[in-house]
Amino acid sequence: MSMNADTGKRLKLPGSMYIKAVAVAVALAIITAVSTMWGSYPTLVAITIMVFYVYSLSWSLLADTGMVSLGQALFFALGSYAYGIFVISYGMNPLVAIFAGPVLGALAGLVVGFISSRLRDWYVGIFTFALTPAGYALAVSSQLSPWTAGAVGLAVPRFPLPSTAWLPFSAALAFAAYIVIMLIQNRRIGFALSAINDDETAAGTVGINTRFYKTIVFGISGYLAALAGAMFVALYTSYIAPDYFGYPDISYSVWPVFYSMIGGMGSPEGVLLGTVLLDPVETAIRSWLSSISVTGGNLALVIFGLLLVIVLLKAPKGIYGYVVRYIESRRTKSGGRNGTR
Amino acid sequence: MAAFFIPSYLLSTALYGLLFTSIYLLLATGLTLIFGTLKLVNFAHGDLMILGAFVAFLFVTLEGWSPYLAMIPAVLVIAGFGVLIYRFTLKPAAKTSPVNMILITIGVSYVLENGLAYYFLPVYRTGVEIPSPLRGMGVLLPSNVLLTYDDLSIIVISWVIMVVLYYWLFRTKQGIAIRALSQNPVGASISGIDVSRLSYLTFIVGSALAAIAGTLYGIVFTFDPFTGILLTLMAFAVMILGGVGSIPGTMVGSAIIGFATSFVGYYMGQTWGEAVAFIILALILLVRPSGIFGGR
Repeated sequence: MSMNADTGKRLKLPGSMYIKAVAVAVALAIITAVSTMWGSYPTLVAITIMVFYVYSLSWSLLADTGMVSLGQALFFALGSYAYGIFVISYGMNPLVAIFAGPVLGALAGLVVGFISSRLRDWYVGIFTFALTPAGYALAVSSQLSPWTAGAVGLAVPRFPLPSTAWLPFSAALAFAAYIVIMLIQNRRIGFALSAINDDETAAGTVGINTRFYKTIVFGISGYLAALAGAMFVALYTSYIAPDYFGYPDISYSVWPVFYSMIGGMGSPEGVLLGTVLLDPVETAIRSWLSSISVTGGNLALVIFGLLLVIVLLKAPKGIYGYVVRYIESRRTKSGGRNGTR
Repeated sequence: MAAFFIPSYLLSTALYGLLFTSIYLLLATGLTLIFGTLKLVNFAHGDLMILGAFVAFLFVTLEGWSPYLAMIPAVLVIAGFGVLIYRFTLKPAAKTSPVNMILITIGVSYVLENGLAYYFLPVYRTGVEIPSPLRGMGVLLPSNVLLTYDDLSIIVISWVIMVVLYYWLFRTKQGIAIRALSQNPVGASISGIDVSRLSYLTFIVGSALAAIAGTLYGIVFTFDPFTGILLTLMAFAVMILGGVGSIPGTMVGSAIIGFATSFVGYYMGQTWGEAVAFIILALILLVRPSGIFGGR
């Protein structure tokens, strides 16, 4: 299956990866500094930007390999539950648990990836999607309720850093996730992945073990999504609910799709653009509509769902596609001028 | 486990299994018809079903119609609504890459669910059931199990519709044209079949099946705006289990999923009953991705 049949080649700005990494670091630092100075509410929103950036990166890493996950919330929720259970039931230091918990997400990712790598196109979507009710059933089941507290959910203790450090900490994690994606894309594994995305059969015939790579990618994606889930509960909600599994309300599985696709598929910078632009707008519109009507939040989700559908139909390269096109057109223009001189 | 062998439990659980089977059969047949003919993976199918149930619910509670009569406006509204959705989102979606197509139908499902929730939740708050005048009446089976007239009519209606559908697809000119379209769209259009008209007809029939399934579901089970996603997944599980595009396969698939849902749900709790369908699905995908009756 080929993503690129429709969206064109992977969106790439000309320029070295170091320049891009510095640009992303600067952008994250600016968001951190501005929202910290602005006040406590903007700081909270900025933390959700970091969380959803990591989460969206985990989704778009899979989509870049031609695997569309509709159940990414499975890993997100596993990460948050693992974090909460390690801290509450086993007394682990939250600073350790935020990295140890997501290992469970990575293991789940490897298992899901092992099966998914044998499936073609939309079967991966339906398979991952179908795992979320199973995850939900586990979370609320009476057998596991001593650890998960069933449908009530878990309240996690306060994260042991001073609250002023929460945003810089999450920004650092977001940057680390970006670097991981960057390294994957610019190493042998990245070239294998983009070959798989372009033409899986051809990739197989030149000796790329497509199933192995797909499984590994799913493991990495599972870790990142679970890390986002752990960050979400540790630094933002302090509470874990079974609906983090994206079931029965599929929101938790849709958000990374939303930020990645509207921001710009295939590039971690585009995903950052999507998250930074949309997350605060979404939060603002949702809280505004919720203050007007009980179900105003649902109306906001209708608006965002429509936006997603329209973008997918009319501009499948997302916002970043326009940015890339603009910069390239500027560059060719100036290049032409240099030539005539 | 001892309770497992009490005949009345066994019988009533089997009865629920039969109800689930009949409803999943209608739903999954619509899904497999749309997928087989239009090559469209429609994740909004279950939401169309719940929308149909809600339309019937409004006609029953506000206009005082019989739920079986309310099926008619539900089918008309959902068929019309389905045409609009198909024309403006799903038809263009089918031309894009598979990834985009899936994400677009997910987006449509998200819009339908939250749109319904916006109107539904302030008024009804929790799940609703379509009130039936026949409620509580029925035939007493052995070991004190009540087979209500509602259960009976739901099972009869679904299987009658399946027979009609089968006749239409395999014995009429139009049905044969649709099957030709599903096998080879180019060949079908060369032999003079109006592909665009038949595509719309297929989507209308698929949506109508969803609306009927929704109304029948609403008569015996409670539903809320977010039930659709579970039903979509159930329909996909049935479709993959039975093999995409095969009607006998869909029958076997819906029987397996229907009885598994009711038995596991009864003995382990409802959430597990729902989850077991997807555990079966995962196993099938691992062992035989083309399904039991699948060709490949």
